Amino acid sequence: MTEVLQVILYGLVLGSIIVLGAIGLTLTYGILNFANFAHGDMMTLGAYFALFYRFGLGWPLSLSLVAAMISGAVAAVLIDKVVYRPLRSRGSITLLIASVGVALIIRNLIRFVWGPDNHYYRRGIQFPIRWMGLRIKPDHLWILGVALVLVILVHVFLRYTKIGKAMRAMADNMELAMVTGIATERIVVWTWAIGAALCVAAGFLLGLDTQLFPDMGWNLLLPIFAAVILGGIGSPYGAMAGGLIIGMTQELSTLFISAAYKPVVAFVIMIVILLVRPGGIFRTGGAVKL
Amino acid sequence: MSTLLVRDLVAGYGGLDILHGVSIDVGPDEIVTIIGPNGAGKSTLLKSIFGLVPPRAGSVTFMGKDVTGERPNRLVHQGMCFVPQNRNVFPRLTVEENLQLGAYILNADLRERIARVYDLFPPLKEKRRQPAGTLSGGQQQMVAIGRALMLDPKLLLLDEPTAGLSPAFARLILEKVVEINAAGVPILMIEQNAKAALAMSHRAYILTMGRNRMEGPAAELLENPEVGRLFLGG
Repeated sequence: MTEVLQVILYGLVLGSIIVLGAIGLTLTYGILNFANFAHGDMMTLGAYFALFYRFGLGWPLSLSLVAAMISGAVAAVLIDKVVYRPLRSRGSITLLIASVGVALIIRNLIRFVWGPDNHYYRRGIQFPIRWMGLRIKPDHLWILGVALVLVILVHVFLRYTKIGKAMRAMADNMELAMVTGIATERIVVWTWAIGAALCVAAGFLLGLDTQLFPDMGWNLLLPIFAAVILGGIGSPYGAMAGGLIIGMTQELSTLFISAAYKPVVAFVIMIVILLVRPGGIFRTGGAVKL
Repeated sequence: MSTLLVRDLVAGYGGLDILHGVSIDVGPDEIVTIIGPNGAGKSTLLKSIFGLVPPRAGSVTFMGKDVTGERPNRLVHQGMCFVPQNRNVFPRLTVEENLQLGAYILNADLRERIARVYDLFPPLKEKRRQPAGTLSGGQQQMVAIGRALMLDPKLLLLDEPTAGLSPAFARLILEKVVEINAAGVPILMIEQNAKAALAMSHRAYILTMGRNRMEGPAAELLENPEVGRLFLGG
């Protein structure tokens, strides 16, 4: 029983990281109608931004996170201006291919600047807290706490601010959003900024949980896509549920099969959803289209 | 002065023209209906007036100002609001959020405007916290029209407001259109239910193959035997 609870804790931790990655991906997918393959590498870039603020400038870890989120938002808006915006009328396949290019550029830039080796936010070993037979790393509490706060902020933003409502409206029905008079290009900029800031936070938390290396975000991209599709494309609330489900399922699967197969679990879930419920489990999102 | 003046409008998709020079007027306080067979260019006409399909020739004048080919969000700022035929609500947003977005360009307290929409369409009030996508077709149409009314439009464009609705709901929606017009909003609409539409309109245009075919006071067209035979199903 304790073993199961322990795995559920790991599932929550992984799930929170996937949730933060999935919210940004689902919004850009729904609003701009393309699958952004550079999202995982933006996570990595954000994690290294935080590393730079932490050790390059010697800032405290929490401040480094905030600074990295802002830097990631600025980077995403710039990438949109330079790469995606000129291609926006060319269709989703063109944008997808362009995002693969962006992904490769970011990843190799990271290798070039920081090298291929692992990096850590904290040196030394953290001793786990023992509680009811569970081993809880203090960092795990940090990860859950930061993810919870960010998800609540996203919820408040999407529900109660004008820009948040416009964002949801655009993810729902782009043409009607234009007919309604929403200044869509401005909202697109906000979408990139917020999606990237959350994705940077996901990268940071992933680095805090394990270590930083150039492929860290890319490796998590598949489960993030699975979460987005599970929750319905363009639905931020679906992405939250989807992220938790994928994270939890991946960790629970280690009770039965080798941990090496974790990504396969996400892949299988994604394929099954695409086959039986392409609109997502809640049937509220847009179906996958390329 | 006419609220809307369309002259010799030519528009289409890709290399293909659908409208070959259509002219229509909408006066203040009028309900003007466009009828005609499928493929006559009715929807294209509304979309090119509203800047969703760029006109290739001709002109659109709104409230005395040339707005030919102006983008939709500029037209919304000038008081022209459009209710598309399909996919005309934000399905995952609540009814109330749909209405709020109708007045997105305003920075004002919207409660009074929203209350007015609920007065016009009482069923929406009790469903205001439900996602619009969960409502019936007729109620979604109420949301769509209510959304377009949030800006107190100076001209309302309706593309087949009764399409796909039950006869009872269709009648209700058309009654509401009359009510909206009586409150001072000029309306230009397309309606496939031509008899009912003519009965409630001031004037009408009949389009065929992208050209003006006939026009006149709606009551006269309704009694014209040729119109009856060709366009009203006998």
